[in-house]
Amino acid sequence: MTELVIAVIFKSIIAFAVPLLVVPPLIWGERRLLGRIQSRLGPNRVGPFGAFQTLADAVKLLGKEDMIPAGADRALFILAPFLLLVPSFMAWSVVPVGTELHIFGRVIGLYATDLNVGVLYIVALTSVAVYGIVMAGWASNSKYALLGSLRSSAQMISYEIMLGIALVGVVVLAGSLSLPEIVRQQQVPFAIPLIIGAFVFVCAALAETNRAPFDLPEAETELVSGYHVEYSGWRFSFFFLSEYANMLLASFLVSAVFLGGGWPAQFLEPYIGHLFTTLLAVGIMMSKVFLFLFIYFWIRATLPRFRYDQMMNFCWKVLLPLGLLNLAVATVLKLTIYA
Amino acid sequence: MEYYVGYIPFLVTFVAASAFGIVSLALASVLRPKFRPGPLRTVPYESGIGPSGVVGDTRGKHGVHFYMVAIVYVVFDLELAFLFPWAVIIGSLGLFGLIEMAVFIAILLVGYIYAWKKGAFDWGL
Amino acid sequence: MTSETLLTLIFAYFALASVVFAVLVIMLRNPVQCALSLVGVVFHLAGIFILLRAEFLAAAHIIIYAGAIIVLFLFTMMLLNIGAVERVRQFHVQAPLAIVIGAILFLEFIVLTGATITIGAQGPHSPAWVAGQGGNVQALGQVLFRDYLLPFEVASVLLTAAVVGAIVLARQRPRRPRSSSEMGVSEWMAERYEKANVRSSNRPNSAEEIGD
Repeated sequence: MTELVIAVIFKSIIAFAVPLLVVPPLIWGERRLLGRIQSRLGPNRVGPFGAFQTLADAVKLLGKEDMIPAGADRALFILAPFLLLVPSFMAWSVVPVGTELHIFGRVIGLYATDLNVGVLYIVALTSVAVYGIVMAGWASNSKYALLGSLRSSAQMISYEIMLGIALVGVVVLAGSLSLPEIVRQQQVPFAIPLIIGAFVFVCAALAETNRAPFDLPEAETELVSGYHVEYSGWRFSFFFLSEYANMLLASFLVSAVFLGGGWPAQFLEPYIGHLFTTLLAVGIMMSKVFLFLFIYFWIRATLPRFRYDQMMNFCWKVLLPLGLLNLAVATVLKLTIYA
Repeated sequence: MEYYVGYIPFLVTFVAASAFGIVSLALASVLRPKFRPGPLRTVPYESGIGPSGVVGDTRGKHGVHFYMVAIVYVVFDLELAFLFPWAVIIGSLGLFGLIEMAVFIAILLVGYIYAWKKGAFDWGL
Repeated sequence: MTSETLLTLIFAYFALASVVFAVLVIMLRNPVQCALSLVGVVFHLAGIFILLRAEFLAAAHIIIYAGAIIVLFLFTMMLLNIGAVERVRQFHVQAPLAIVIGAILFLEFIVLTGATITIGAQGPHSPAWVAGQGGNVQALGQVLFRDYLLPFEVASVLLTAAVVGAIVLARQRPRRPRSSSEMGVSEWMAERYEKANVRSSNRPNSAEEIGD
């Protein structure tokens, strides 16, 4: 029993550390890639190929003065970044990197916890991120911040529905809310039968993480910087960190839920043995994650930003009917082919 | 007990993330220079216009549209909460389950179409 | 320390914290802070649901209450002028009287229900049955979509009524026929001039002239 508890605590610390350790190189990678796409160099001064740029930025942010605007609601102003940061890390508890590893007579799950309701907890934790945004905008006592937070929260709640509806299609086919079980159920990645759902999910994930072309909350030209315009120094970095942690989470979810996790590694198990299959599956899963992150950055470099009315129209008048269509397709498939 | 062990990661990540935030902020407060207040330094940034009330009170009224989107969102969020337990057992419910949910969604779509026609999703700029 | 005591302690924390947050909802002056305290209540109640093995209820509680309804509260607050609300007095001379009456009602509640509260009613579905269905969500689905089919369908009528009602209430002003982004520039300008009562002889003739 004690051993089990220690193992779970150890794995949850890993689940917490993954976004924290991956995000800084990710930011550097994004800036390098954007530079390449836009025919410029990108960061290349600090360390080899500028690899320590994010670290240097973090040190700079740590050394900045702490400014709280006059008339701000101090308690909420300090609390708001935490309201964004903490749920985005908590969601990592149920994210799997693979299924199970059988080694030395033990079964090690490649996830912190396998809950019977894992998908629901992801939906629940992403739905509370909106408080951080509302509170940041409200507490700042700045018109731009408040407008940015209102627009941003309306965007987030709208696209949350689409995220959920796309996930319901997957749950119908898998018959389970547990993420490792959904990965196991995919003889063929769900993105193939549920291509509409995958499209809805990717659009909703882009909008939920406030990324281009849905980056209206920080539309610099209209709103200066949106809900976090009054935040500076280390407090500002919380917003940055949680945005990238959420992006990484979305990439893990797409890979696990729609792209089949380690698929097609499991078919090689009779030939190369369990250990290598599991390692290969984790490798394939990771390459899917990074492929999706690449698409994220690629979209940012290529597509212009939506106008706000276009974005809301797209959500409610295009994605919602598509999501329901996807649900119908999933149900019919479940009752016929997947029965 | 195994059931409760499954929830430990939420506790651990909650504590770890909060601790990370608090400790790093404390570290920043040691490293950074002391804040020097000035007459205009803490004024909210509003493109030089300043919070003089030219554009209106900050915490004032905002478009009723946000409210309409929020109410439609609440309804669909509830629908989503009903969809999840349905989705896990649709395999055993069979055609009966399909019809059941089709009726439920059809009734909700009446409200959705009404909201659409009344312009709840049109952001006339 | 046995695991039973540990669970009791965890329950005590959740119960106490939810009561404290609930009191804060009433006591705090700033409505936005009140709403945030309500989120605190919701989260701690979700913790109690998890202790009771009602996993779906815990998640649905967070998704619906914290994720949707309190967000709706916040949106409504931002539509209103909060400054005026903050100046309203929170406690009146009636407060001591209210406390006395509240205490009497609470005692009455204890006396009337004290006998049954300690025992706790058993539901028709045993933990073994729930486990046999494959888990909490599956069991809930079986009950909801087989035994309680009619209430479930009626809920959708209720939700539709809520949407229609809210939109009717929200739309009191007549809607402009088209949004300005759909109009031509000259048409839009003409409307502006109409509103500002500018005589037609003083208006520029076309959109191009405005550009000069």
